[in-house]
Formats: sequence, C-alpha cells, structure tokens
Amino acid sequence: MPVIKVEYAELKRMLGVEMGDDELMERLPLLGCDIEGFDGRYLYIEYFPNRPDLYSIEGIARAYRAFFGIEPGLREYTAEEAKNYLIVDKSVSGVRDYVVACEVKNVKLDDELIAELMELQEKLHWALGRDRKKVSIGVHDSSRVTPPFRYTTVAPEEIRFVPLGYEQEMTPKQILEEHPKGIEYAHIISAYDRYPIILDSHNNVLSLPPIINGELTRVTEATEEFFIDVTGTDLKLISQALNILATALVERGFTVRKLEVRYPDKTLTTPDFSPEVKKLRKSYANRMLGLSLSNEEIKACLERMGYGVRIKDGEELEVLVPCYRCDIFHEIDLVEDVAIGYGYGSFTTTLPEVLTTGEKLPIEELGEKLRMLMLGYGITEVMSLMLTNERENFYHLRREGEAVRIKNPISEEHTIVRTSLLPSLMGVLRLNKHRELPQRIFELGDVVVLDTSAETGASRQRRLGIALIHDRASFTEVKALLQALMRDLGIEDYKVVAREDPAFIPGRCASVMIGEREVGIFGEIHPEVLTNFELEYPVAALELEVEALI
Amino acid sequence: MELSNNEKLVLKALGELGKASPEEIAEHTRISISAVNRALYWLVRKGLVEVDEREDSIISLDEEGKLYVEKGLPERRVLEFLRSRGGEAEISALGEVLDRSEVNIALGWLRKKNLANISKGKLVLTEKGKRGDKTEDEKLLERLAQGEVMLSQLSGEERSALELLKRRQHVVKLEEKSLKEARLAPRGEELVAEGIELEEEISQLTHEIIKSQAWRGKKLRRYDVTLPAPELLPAKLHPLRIIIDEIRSIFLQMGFKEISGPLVESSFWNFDALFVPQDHPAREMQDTFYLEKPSLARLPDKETVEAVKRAHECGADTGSTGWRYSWSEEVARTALLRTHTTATTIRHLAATRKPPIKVFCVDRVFRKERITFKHLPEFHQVEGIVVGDVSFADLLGLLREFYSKMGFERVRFRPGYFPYTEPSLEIEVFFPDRGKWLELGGAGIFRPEVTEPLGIRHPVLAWGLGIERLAMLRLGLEDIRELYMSDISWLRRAKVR
Repeated sequence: MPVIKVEYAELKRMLGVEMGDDELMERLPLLGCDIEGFDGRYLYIEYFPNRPDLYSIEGIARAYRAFFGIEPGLREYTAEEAKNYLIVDKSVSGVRDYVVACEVKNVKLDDELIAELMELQEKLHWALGRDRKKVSIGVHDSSRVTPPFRYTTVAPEEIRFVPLGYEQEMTPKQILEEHPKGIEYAHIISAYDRYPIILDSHNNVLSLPPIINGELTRVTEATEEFFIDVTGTDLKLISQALNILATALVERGFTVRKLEVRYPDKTLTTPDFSPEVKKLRKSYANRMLGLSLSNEEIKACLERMGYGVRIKDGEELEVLVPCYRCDIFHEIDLVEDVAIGYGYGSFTTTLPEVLTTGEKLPIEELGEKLRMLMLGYGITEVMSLMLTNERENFYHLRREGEAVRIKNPISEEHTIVRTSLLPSLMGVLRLNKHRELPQRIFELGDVVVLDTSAETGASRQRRLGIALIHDRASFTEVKALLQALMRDLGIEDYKVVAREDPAFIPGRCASVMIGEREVGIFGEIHPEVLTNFELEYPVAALELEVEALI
Repeated sequence: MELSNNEKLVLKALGELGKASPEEIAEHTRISISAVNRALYWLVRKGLVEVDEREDSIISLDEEGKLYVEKGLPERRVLEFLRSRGGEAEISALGEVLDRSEVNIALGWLRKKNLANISKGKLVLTEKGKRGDKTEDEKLLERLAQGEVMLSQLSGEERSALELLKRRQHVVKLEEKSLKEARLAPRGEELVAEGIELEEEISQLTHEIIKSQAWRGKKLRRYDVTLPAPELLPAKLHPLRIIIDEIRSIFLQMGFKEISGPLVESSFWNFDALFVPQDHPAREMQDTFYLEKPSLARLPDKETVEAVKRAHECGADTGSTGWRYSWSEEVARTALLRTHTTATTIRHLAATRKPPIKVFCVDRVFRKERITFKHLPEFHQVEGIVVGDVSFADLLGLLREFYSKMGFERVRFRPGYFPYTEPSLEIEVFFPDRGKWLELGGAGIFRPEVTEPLGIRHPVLAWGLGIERLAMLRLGLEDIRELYMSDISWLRRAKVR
C-alpha cells in the first residue's frame, strides 16, 4: 500500500491547527491510515488503495481540515474557461480510447515540488491506473508547444522524437525496444499496429502514452505553465485521476484552465470539478451502523468527511460527493464515511442477538482426542510447512508421484504442496539431529492430493504422522503404537497387511486396511532414506488418514 | 547433629589425613569425588570442616617446548656450534644448525643472555658463553620434561625463567586451576576425638527393604530437599496448537460453528465472489501462488457465476456502479492456493444464505512471501462471521467480547480497508508488557456487491487475524520461522500459556 512522505511542519502549516504533536499523531489514523514512521522532519503515512485523493500533502491537508472541523463540508474548486482544445482522432478507438486534459497557469516550482508531483503521478498510476494500463498521466511544460493539441495514433516507425531523458531522436518502435520505460510498459500497447500519441499543432510530440513524454516538454524549475493529459481505457477513471491531480494543484495556489476535448462524436470540457450527487437513506445508515442519528447529525458526520449534504425530507439526504473521490460505489460507502465522521471510538457497542450453538468439526474433535492419546504415548507434537519440493517430498523417500504444483514459486524449496506427512517428519528429525535422543514426534496436519473429481482439482486430507528415532527404534515399537491407537479409538475391524514401499525396509512395512481400503502405512524407514535426511539412527514411522478413524 | 554416612567417613578421613584435597579424601574413603564434594559442602555449612580454596596454575610443555627439550633451544645449538668452531663463526654459517626462521631468535637470545656478540660480521662467544653453563630457562625446561609442575611449587629463579619461556611462542602452557584443601575445624576435631560411629543408612527404599522390614532399626537418610532434581522432558503439544485450540474454544463458547474449506481454491471463491476486481493488485502474481497443476477449477452453478459477473461489471441489482470492466470466466477459473480463509467463509455463506449464521474457521493460508524472520509463505488465519439483523455497533461489541476472552482488555478500532468489506476497520490491542498498541486483526461488514449476488439478504459481520503474529507476541519470539522449525529442545521446554 502506498506510503506518502509528508513534511510534518508543512502539513501543520497547511492544516492551520493548534494541536500538540502527540494529539495530532493520535488523531491522524482516525481517518483511516497507518503512521509508518516519523524521522523528525518527514512523516511516513500509509493510506489505503481506495483513497488516491490522499496521496499528496494537499489532499491530506484538505481531508483533515474537514475532519478536524476547521473547514467541514464540500470544498468547491473553480477552473478558468477553456481557451484551447485537443482533437481526438478516431484511430485511438480500441487502442487507448480516452483522453482528458487541462492547462495550468501561475506554476511555481522547485526541485522538491517537482519530485512530489512525480511521486503523486506514479502513485495514481499504481492505484487507479493499474500500473498505467487503465490510466496514465503526462505533465508538460507547455511553453514550447502550440495548441491545438491532437490525440491520435502513429505507426511504430512513422515519426521520430527525443524521449524524456534522452538526447537523440527515436521512433516509437525503438523506444519500446530500447528505452527503459519503453521496455517496462511496452506490453500495454505493443499488440497494436498503431501507438497512441499526443502532438501539438506543429506535430511536435508531447507524449507517447502510456510510455513516455517527449524531452521537449520536460518540466523544470523554470516551468510556468503546464499542459496535463490523462489517457486511458476508462473515461471515468481518467477524469477522477485528473481531478485528484488538478485539485491538488489548485490547493497549491496554481490556476487550472479547462480544455475542450473534441471526440469525433462529442465534446467534453475537462476537468469537471462538479460534485456527483448520491442519495443516502437515513434509515439505511442507522440500520447498518446500529445508531439512531438525526439527519443533522448525519450531515455533520459527512461534512467532516468533506461531503456537501442537502437534507431533503425526513428520510433521504442528498450527498454531494467531491470530484476527487473515486471510491464511492454504493450507498454503503457513504455509510462508512458517516461512521468515520462519527468516530469509531464514539460507538456504544452492542452484542448481536443471533442465537446459535457452538459446534466443532468432527475431524477437529477427533484431532483433539488423537492429540491427547499422543501425549499419553509420550509423543511430542510438531508443526511444519505444507509447501515443499519434489526432492524432499518424493526423491528423498525414494518415491515418485505427482503433486499440486505452483506456477509462480518464489524459491526452489517451495514448488509443490506435500502429499505425505512422512517427509515433513523426516525434515523435523533432520533439524533435530543434534538434539538428545530418543525423539518421538507426531504431526496432525493436511496433505493435498491431485483429484480430478474435486471441484478445484485437488483435495486435502487430514493425516496423522508419527516418527520415532533412537538407537532401538523398530517396527515393533511403531506397531505397538498402532495397536494402542486402534484399541483406544475402539477400532477393531482393521487389518495389517504386508506391503512394499521404497521409503521403508522391504519386509518391514505394512498397510493398515479398514475393509478394502488402505488407510495408512507404517514400518521401519529404509537406511538410504535415513542417509538422504542426514540421520544416523533408525527411524520407525506411521502415517494414517484421520478421516478413516472417525 | 545429623551426619550422613558419607559426612562421617569424610570427617574420619580428615582426622587421619590432617589436610587433604577432595581427591585424596576420595582415594582414602573409596567414595566418589562428587560424593566427597557434597559431603564437604555440608560439613563446612555445619561448621565441622574448613576448606581453603586457592588459585594455582598447572605448567606443562607446549608443542615447541617439547621440540626444544629434544633439540635444545636455538641459542644453545648455536653456542655448541660456536664452541666446536673455536668460539666464533660467520653468521651465514649458522644455517648448519638452525632453520632459517630460528636465526633471528637465536641471535636475540644470545645477546640477551650475554652469551655471544656480533663483531665484524662474526658471532663471537663471550666469557660466559665460553663456559656454556645451563641457563635457568633450560633447567626449567628439563624439569617440565619430567612432568607438569604447579606454579606454586616454583622457586623465585624458576619463576623468572618461566617468564622468559613465556616470551617464546608455544613453549609452555599454563592452565588455571582452583585447588581445595580441607581440614577439620575445631568443632570437627572435637567430634572426631569423641569418636564417630558409622551406622548403616538407607537411601533408596526398595521393594526388598519394605517387604523384609529391613528398614526397622535403621536410619532413613535425610535428603537435602532443596537440591534440583534432573530435568523432565515430557511430550508436549505445539505452542501454536495450544493458541489455535484456545481460539477455537472461545468461538465455540460464543456459539460459533466450526467450518473448513479447500486449500486449493478457485480464483472465483478466493477473489471474484469477494468483489475483488480481476485486475486488482492483490490478485497479481507477486502476492498469490497460482497453480500449474491443477491449473483450472470448476465454477459453481451458472446463476451464481452470472450474478457475480454482473456485480463486477455493473454492480448487478445492488445499486453499486460495479468495477465497470468486462469480467472473465477464464480468469475466475484459475486455480490457486487460497490466500485467506475468507474464501472458505464466502463458500459457506453462498451455500447457507439464511440467518442465523455464526461460523468460524481456523486454517492455513498461503501468500507469495519470501521466508524471513517476519514472513512465511504459509500461516494460519482465524475468521469469524455473523449473519443476521446485525449492525456495525454489534461488530464492535463482538470484537470487544472476543478480544477480551483472548485476554486483551484494551482494544481500539480505527478505519481500515478491505476490498470486500464496508465499513472496514483495523483492531489494535494494548500490550501492557510492551507498553504499546499493536494491530491485531481486521474486520468489517461484507459489501452488498459480495452478499447480494449470492442471495444473502442480511448484513454479514466478519473479522479475522493472523495467528502466528499473536503467537510470536505471546511466546516472545522475534523470528516467525521458529514456529515451524519444531526444534525439539524448544518444544519440550515451551510454556503452555
């Protein structure tokens, strides 16, 4: 989740609030964030992915000025009327359909501000843009380009321009192949015959969205005017991104001027700072929250969250959602903000009147009994990871087989899910090879086996595994345990049948059968297997399906 | 005064030996050295014996020292060589009797001991050198060649010689040792003078002794009940299991039913049914383990799939805008290792639908995390769900109840974010021993876009937490890996609370 670096003194200045540092630190999270750290100068605050409007110091100050009651209610923004326009060519359709844009005047920048601006842009790319796929933003110094602008497409080698950070001209094709940003984001447009491009009236390149801007319009400390473009695949999202960015710039004291965006079939004037009107039923809010707030109280809560509110009649409120909010999908999202505005700490908590009786899963209930028996037999419980690899799970036991396999493993150690508890137990013994003997361990855990009849293609099985290691660990010892276990569980109709398994010594391995079904295996581990697990004492082991014991 | 048999034996021995070390007493009494030491300890406490302890060192020859005993010190070899050459020789000729590495050592010592001088490139014996008497360090070496010597036994000259030898590398070794010497205290002397009567004592009562009544008329030895007994290492449950069972029992007490579900899960139940959009960062490869085998899962009935699809695309009939994209069935079928137990609760809700529902699930989940002291690719989550005519205030009340049963008296809530709950919150509990609030769980009410498409018409309260983190705090572990190392030594000694 995004961590925003905020200069603390600047934040306090922008809040214009008299509040002790401790109190401020206590109250910041009440709007919904984690304070990650404070180094004396900068505060590192983690905001949630649904609130990109809080990814800049301007947005943060705006939210808390309302929240702390300094400036509650809807903050109105104005933009100058459009003077210039941007023509959208129909060829962008199906490639990267939408663009919105604006101009910004009275820009005053320093290095720090440029860095903050780029930071905000990147965070919007991540949160709203799904890493530029759905939204990408270009901020340009407009002094060296001439409106009107054009959003169109070009063939990969149709034009040449100098991309940001480079000195020589390149074709879009070259940029996708050679420029670091081109390589990183090529996948978004490389499938198309023509790439999106933004040009001025002299065919100067402002941007090859969503890849890179031109060097021509690089923003520097000398920049006094911006042209901002936001392109993407979803008109609503790019409009929200532009609103977040543009309102932050207005908060900075810059002047935003609208731009006409002329699509083949319609003309938009962007940005549109007008709030969206949503309805909120008082009864719904109160029912969901377990409160009995009046319309006025709900209004006050929402105003602390930066909304405008009109009380219409007894039941319904009209909520003016600020143009920079992009997380209001449903009435319930307003309800949450009522709760935050009310204060989670202010609730009188109640207990639900849902009468039910507790009920254990049968397999867990049996598990409790099995654990009790194991302790009585002097066997200590271990827990191990289910993720493993073929070497451990199969080859070390001289076995072969198939297992659930991870497509994107993070290490060679964890590529499959275990199909048996034996390797896990052997692994535990290996970790403990320098500890005092005897060691008697058990694990009550799951394995997963491929199963085409299962809905998800695999099914989990609860198993009981036991391993005994000491100088005289033997088939007899483990068989005695099996007999005791079966006796104590009252299972009489089981059979022990000789079988072979490469993990065990031939002639010292047996199946546990209930009816015609094999429900377990036990015996003395093969010395080759012991060596594979770096063990130097005999091991006797048992593995049983727990389901069969119910 | 009560005296054990061994104590009496030691007293008698000291009466006969006068001063003696524990080794000498053991030799004399034929009881073990540890038994002698134990008896001495008690006799001192009873004021019958005094023990002097002093520090001493054992001096013995080291590697080089043994070599020098055989071949002579380098300067001695040169001295003999010079004498055989009439008292002087070119320095370059010393190679005949020395290793090159020894030349400088020999020259240094010859000068220091005033045995030879260098004059015009030649080495010339002094008068003392011509006499060729053994030096003190050579005499000490010879003595050490006979066997170890205690530092305290050295004469003043020998001590100076030892200092000289210590300036050479690996010639002598010193090992510090504390020496005990016991003698009778005045009261002990009186007791010995009065005569000590040995009587038979019984320590371990045996079947034979009881059966034969042989203990009658004999003394049952008194034990020091404060001495530690050997450590007992019985079988144990895993500490993580104990915490899991504690949490299960809290839920059961609160009337919740236990549920479980698949570990290999479809994206549909893990994500889509929870209104997590198909391009959400959490679904990306870096957070979730997707599967090569099985790669695809089956989807539930058409109606459910269609309802979820519409919730994503347009909010279905919930009044939500939805995520406004084209939802793919293929993506929903992708198989994965479930990343949260919510996949299981939502399955249960879809199958049950009607309140009252109170269920919980404690189980394993998987995340694509590299193993570090903080993270594991698999861990346990616990999750509780309540469905009925319930509200956010009820959720907060439930959480207070639950956490107080877990032993956390101070709990506070602040806004949180999960894609499938609204309102959402994070739970912080106060750890008095750490003096701070720590985040320990998340909660919320399932979004209408989650519940309505599955036919659930009532609010669903949900909360969950990771158990390993709680376990680490409880057990005072700094490294999460320790929970799965199953170090027998740790398990056998782990506290059960």
